[in-house]
Amino acid sequence: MKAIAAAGTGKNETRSFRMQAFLEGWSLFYENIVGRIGLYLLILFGLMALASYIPPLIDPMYHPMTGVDPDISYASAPSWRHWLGTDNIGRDIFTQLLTGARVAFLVGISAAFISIVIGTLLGMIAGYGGRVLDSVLMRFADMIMVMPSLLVILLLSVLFGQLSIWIIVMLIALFRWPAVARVIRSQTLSLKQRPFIDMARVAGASHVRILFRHILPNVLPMALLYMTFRVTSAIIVEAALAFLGFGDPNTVSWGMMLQWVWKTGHMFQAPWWLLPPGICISLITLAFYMMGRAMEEVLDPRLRKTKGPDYAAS
Amino acid sequence: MMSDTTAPDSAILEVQNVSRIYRSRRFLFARDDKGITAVDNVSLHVRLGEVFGLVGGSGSGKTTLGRLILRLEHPDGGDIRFEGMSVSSLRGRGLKAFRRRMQMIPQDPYQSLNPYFSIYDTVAEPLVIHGIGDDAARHELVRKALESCGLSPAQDYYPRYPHQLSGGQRQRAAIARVMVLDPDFVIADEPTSMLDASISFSIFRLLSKIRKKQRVTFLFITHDLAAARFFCDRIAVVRQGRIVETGPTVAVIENPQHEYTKSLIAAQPRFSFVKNPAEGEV
Repeated sequence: MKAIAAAGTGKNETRSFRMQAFLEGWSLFYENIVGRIGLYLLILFGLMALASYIPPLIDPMYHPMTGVDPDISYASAPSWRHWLGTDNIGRDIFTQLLTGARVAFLVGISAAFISIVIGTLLGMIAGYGGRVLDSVLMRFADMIMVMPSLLVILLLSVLFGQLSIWIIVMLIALFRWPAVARVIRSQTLSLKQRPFIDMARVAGASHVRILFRHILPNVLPMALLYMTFRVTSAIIVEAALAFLGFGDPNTVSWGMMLQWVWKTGHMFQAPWWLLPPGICISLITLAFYMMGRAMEEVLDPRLRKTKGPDYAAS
Repeated sequence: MMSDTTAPDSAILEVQNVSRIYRSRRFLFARDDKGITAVDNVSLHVRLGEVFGLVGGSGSGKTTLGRLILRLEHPDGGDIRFEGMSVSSLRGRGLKAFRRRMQMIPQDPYQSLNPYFSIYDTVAEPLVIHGIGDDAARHELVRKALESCGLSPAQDYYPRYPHQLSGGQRQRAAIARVMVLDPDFVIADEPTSMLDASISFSIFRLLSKIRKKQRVTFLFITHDLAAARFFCDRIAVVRQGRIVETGPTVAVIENPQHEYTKSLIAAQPRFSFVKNPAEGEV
């Protein structure tokens, strides 16, 4: 169907609605200083995550987990050999920091993605499904929302022993979807009243078709916005778990690094070890949060501070 | 076809004592409220091939009646029969078959097209839903529908999105989407209320053309008596959910019996560009 539509035209001047909306949103986003800072920070962290593959190739001692400097067996201060110094057994902190960025993205984005998928699906079904389904799903969401997620995850890890990083990701995702579901539900409720949904029903569209072909594309921008906020909370929860000693010991995350500093008693002895992961956690969550705020302004015109004359001037 | 009403055998649609009451959602100790009666014990029938007009002011329940007939809502009482089949009892496959035959031309072309669907996808969607034809056949049907609705060459419109069309073009696309299914019965719910006068007129001409060419029965919902007179064979005047007067269009308009019909006719704006000394200034 799409192929014919594309073949049937010789012109490319007509951009899809999605493309046009994206370009307009992008220019609004880029005008926003907060969003731009967030984006630059994220690019920086992205580069760090990519660069994390390089040091182990240079020398095996730069492996974040197992690489130990043969000459150093104490927490050494920054030097040319180790830009951010080493930990107490001679592992390179800079390499660990780079790997931590990778893990943060992995945990943040996958947990956020899973919770967005669950939240969007359940939110759409609740909003579209009508009273009974709506009540059942939303009360269920409320129940999960009021649970102290960190505490429950801690209890689970005590019960089941050490949790792997993927289990942690799943648990974070399972506790963080209700807020998404709420927002998507309210969007769906208003979309449901729009005439094009009636037109789809009159054309004979099934509920599944209406949900996925008509409602989903319209709620997707909002879901993506909420994904940025979910990323922030997932990274924080993972860091907290790791710092408290319930992280995956086979993963070098920033929270894990903090846990090692604390456990080995270097909190006040090795600032080069303590500060970088702490700063990185703050900055990456800030970056996602700033991105989210800027995206929110793009999606919700009421939040924009700039008025008409500014556009006319530019 | 057995029918226990007074409707003639040629009736394609019969509405029998249909009511629709909107109640506010009741909660635990809230008192039982009477609700708002949007459609109150309405009976009418539409004959095969005619254009039946439903005329009334805002809030008279004419749109609700249309939605009831389309089975977008369920009546609180009474029965709606399409070719003798009770519409509200339709389920599954029967409902889908009904949806193929009864269609609606929407009121607001700015709201009735999904912004994420290109015009091709919009018009082809009913064909996809009902599994009509393969890709090539659908392509041909879509092209024909668009061109018969005055969007030609159709290829130019395929990749466009609703926001790239004018109001009149959107309404034509919406009509093409309806006509591509070749329906037997079309409900047009104030199809021109969001368009300006000259475009409204061209939409009316398009609907008349379709009516002649495809033998479609129309239920035409409007607040505009002039439009009803132009387009309808018979009309029913609706007020506060009740039909106050029904009959052939010309008879009703030339010789109104009910006070409300008279007031509607009196309220009809008359624009005169030549000063008429007898009537004074308008």
